[in-house]
Amino acid sequence: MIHFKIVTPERILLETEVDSVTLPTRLGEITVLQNHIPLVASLVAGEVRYRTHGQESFFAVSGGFIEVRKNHEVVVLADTAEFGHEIDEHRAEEARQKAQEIMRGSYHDQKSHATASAVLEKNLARLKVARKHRSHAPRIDTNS
Amino acid sequence: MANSKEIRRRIKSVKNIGQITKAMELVSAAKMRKAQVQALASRPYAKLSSSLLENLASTVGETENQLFRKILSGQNNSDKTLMILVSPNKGLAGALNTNLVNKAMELIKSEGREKIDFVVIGKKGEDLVRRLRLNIIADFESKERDLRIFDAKPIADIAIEEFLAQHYSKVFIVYTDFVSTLNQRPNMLQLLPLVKNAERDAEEYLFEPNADDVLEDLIYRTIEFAVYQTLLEAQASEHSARMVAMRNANEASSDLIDDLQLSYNQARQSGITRELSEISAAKLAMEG
Repeated sequence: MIHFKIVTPERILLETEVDSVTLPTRLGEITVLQNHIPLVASLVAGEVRYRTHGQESFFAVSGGFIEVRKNHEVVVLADTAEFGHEIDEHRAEEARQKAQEIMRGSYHDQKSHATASAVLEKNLARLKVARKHRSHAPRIDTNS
Repeated sequence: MANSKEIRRRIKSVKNIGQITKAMELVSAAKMRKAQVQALASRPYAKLSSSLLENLASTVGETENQLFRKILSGQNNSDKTLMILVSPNKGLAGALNTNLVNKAMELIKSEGREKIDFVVIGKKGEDLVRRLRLNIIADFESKERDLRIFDAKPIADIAIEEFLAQHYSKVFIVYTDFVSTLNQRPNMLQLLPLVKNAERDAEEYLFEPNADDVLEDLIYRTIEFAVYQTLLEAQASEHSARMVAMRNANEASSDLIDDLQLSYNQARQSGITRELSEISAAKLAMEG
């Protein structure tokens, strides 16, 4: 088992034992299993999935850092992290559109373009997780 | 014994002051709750991010990364120190400001007056440094509430920039650490150069995408966050100290009112007694 901990400036989102965890990094997704070598990587906006006893759960993150330690510990320092049920899909959609408008609009300086692009990435990830959560939720209901 | 009219006037003015301190207590209590929640919530993140950097410092000491090497080592031609002083804008917060000033004075004494420059946040710190006629290189407004990481960024940027330019060999941040509502401790933190974590075994870390990018991001982010956390701690301390100070003032004012009320009643009673004895004396004189 891996000890998986994800912390944001606002809270400790999750601290639990998992079998594997899949994280979005700048070079693509990585999956961390037991006995992974120590690693430090940049986290990008996207979806984090983790598996415990065959059951998969997921949440959305924006940027941050990943630290894999020697003693089967994975620590994620995320700027923001939210579970699907916490995301207001409507507002995420609005934020996405706004960011897109800014990027499309009159030529801005590099910094505001980069900020808008980060907001866009973040909200795309949030939307994806929110939709996935919505489509998963009814199925769990019918099973139980 | 003072006359009853004067005592009545004093009771009235003490009551007015009591009302003001009561209102200030309530306002501070509301701000305090928010600030405490914010400060406590971000502590785990601050701790983990700085411990990550410390771990890396002990393992990749001989790194190729220029920035990391500079940030780590004391290799610096300067003999000056930069102090970032985080203070409130206002007083009326009990011993908070005095304690903070004493802490700052300690460092000024140990480093030497000529060898220390300041970045001040908040009016109280600015007043102190101006009074001492020491050098301020930057001055930031202290925000009362709704602190964001963006508020810490310019402060961290100045610290890193000045350090890398070798204007200063050390950067300290002096602030008030929030312990509990009743207890706040002035504290000094060495921001730069980074303190290595000596206890950990050397471990080889793999970096993705590469060491330079990750380290650079991490260094800036961690120092920013360390500054942000001290701002949060200082804010929570300020509001807590003020709330407690105002509560004490409140209690003192109701004690004072009780005392004054007692002497007012005594003065009134003695007045009545005197009048009565005068009347009966006059009556006796007339009858006699």
